[in-house]
Amino acid sequence: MTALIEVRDASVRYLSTGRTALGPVDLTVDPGRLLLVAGPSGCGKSTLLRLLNGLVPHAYRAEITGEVNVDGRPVAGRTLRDLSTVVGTMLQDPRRQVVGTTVAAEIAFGPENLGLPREEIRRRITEVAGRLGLTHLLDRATAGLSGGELQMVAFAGVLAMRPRVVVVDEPLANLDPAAGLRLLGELRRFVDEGGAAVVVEHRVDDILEFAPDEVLYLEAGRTAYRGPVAGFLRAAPVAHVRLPFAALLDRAAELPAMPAPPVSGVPPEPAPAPRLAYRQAALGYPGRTVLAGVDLALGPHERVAVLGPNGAGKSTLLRAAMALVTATRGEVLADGVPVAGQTVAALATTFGYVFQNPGQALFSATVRQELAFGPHNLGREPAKIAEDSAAALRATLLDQEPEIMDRLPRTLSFGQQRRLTVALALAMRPRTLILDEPTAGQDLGTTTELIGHALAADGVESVYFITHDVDLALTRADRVIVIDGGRVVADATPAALARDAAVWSRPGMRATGLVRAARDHLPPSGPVPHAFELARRIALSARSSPSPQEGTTSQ
Amino acid sequence: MDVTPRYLGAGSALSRRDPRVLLLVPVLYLVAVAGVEDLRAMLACAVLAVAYYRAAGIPWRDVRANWAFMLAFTTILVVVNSIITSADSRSDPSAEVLFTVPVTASPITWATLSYSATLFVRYVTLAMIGFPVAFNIAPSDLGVAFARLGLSQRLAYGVDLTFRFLPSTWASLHETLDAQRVRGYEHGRSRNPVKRLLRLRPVVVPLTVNALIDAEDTVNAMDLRGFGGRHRTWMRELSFDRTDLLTLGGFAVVAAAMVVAKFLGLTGAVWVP
Repeated sequence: MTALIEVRDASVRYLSTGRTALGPVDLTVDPGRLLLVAGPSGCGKSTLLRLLNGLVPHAYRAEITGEVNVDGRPVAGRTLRDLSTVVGTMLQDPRRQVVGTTVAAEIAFGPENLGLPREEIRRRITEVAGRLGLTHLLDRATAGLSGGELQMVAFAGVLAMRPRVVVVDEPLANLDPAAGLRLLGELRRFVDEGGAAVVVEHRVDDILEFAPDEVLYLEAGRTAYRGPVAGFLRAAPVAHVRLPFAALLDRAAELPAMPAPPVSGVPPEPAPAPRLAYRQAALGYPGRTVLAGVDLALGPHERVAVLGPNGAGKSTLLRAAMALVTATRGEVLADGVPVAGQTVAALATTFGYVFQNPGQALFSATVRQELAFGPHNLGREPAKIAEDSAAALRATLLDQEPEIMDRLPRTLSFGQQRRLTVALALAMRPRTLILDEPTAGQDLGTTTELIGHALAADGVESVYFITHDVDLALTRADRVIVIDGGRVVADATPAALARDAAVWSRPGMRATGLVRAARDHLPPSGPVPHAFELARRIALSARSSPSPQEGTTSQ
Repeated sequence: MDVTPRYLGAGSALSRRDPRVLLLVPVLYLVAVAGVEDLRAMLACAVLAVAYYRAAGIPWRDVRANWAFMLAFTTILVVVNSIITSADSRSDPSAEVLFTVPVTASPITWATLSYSATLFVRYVTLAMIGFPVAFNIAPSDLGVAFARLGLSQRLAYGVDLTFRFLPSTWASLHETLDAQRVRGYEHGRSRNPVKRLLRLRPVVVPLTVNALIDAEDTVNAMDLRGFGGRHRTWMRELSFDRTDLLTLGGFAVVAAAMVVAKFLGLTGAVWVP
């Protein structure tokens, strides 16, 4: 049987930067095989995908050594158009991949480019839409689709090219777990029917249920591990890869100590007014209510996580705190005062809001100017701005970067840019930090670092954060709010939420191994420790009483 | 604000036309009215434009705001160009002056008013003929229509992409604006236009950089699906039917007739009642 992809001793050096981004690596993908590629941010995963689909060297000027064959022929000698019939590519963000104005137009796009007859294109649209359950969406405008629908439509567009291999870049990065996992289910079916797939993903624990046949783990562009899953689970660096809880139990003895999040400030007596309160609030945009009947009070000394599927209204809920979204009914109060009568600028000293994409904030020529922008808008003195900027950089550990103040913000790595956006908020000295998807698309190391800095920031009394990461919400918050179907469906301590079967049976929610372990091994209310800590505790108790560890290895 | 392209005339006579008809008719109408100075000839063309607009079946309530803007803009343009500045120099110096515009002291004659009315009718009827391009062509048909009119595949698909990414670019603008507002950014503090422009920097820079980064991904995604080859099939089949040909033929005849009339000096002079 001929391998669909063969990479032998290949290295890639980008001519624009002169940096070797990948290699040497070896790789073989046979029909019927699913390969998982993992590794920390910047380890060369994206470059590997570009090498496989031909963007390197066809779209990115790079020097390639070694051998890269697709379907038995060298990539270098083939056009992208030719390669596109063998290797299909799913980008990380389907919003950038989908170019058709309607679903049918999107599925037709590739076959149209190949110059196929209309009858054949129609046949492929019908076939692929039927296969992926998209027939009812064919006439819908792609601009109106949900994230999950859009990802499935992007996959349909790839399948319509009839590729033999599909490469997928971080399918879980931008979507709620349920939406991403639906795509992976279809991908597994594609592989089982004779295709092949290469999936790049940080969240290894979520991928494993789709039974990858092999794992390639990259570090600094080089192969750190290549082999079966079982071996990877034994060898993977636990601090950098999200392993399933059962694997953590097996390796409990070697798990590093993880500092618990700082204890929330003890609220003074009598209890102060909530930092953020919603009274029968309906929130949304002109002509569209996103959330209704919201009655919540978030304390000034609480860490609150907001969970929920894509489009549920998580961001809408917390943006109302900054008057970025207005209440069409009821009211929203900050420290007891309605936000409706306040400007966004006035609220910026109470709430520091950190958006998901750092690229939306960064515009200055230097980090110094970027940090000064917010405080300057609030009319602060230059000396105070300099002092607060330095403190914000220290809190996010960015002060350790050489000459950071004079660096162009856009030249920082993505992880550093994320930390910088937290620093931008901290420089305004808010009392509550609001983080919108702080860890989306980041590896475990960066996630741990970023959220750790945010929770421990000096002067910040409370942190409210939106996330799709169930484990992060459970281990880092005092309280978890679940939004779904336009309303609040749960509001509980992490341990209590883990036991709430109704929450985990909702379509957009998914119980992780940690949820099951917390349900089976922790008291019914209170905090949930870090997964490493819980695994150590369970392993320890298992050694003293060797009964089966219910909930840690099964659904 | 919803910036999704609006397809409003579904089911109307014009929406059933080949989209190329809707693109070509405005060109022919422009040729027809470009040189018309005589209000009577302009009104004759207006009858055709009104009939065409009615065939588009665009609901009035959906385009009320568009018309209000268009009429306000046209009125200002016409008043400034022909009445306040007396731009029409063809009026007879011996003609009776009806009144004089205060401040500019421009004399207003019947010829000035006739010329203004001609300009006004020309712009309004051009809008009538142009509205169906915006509201009666399905957004997904624009690219193929331009391609079949001879535009290169890349440029034609570029038209499609513009409509595809308009809503997301608009959303990105709002997101960027919000990301800066939470840092105390407010745009309208200065009356100095240069300062106002400079104050747009925190929004324009991230928006532009992000658009370029996003565009790179989109270009890659298109290349990876074989875009850019010499031969491309457009799924949407376009063919002129009899009504399309009659419509185009009718407008072509009117355009030719008006051009001939212009050369014969029949419509080139301002009509004075």
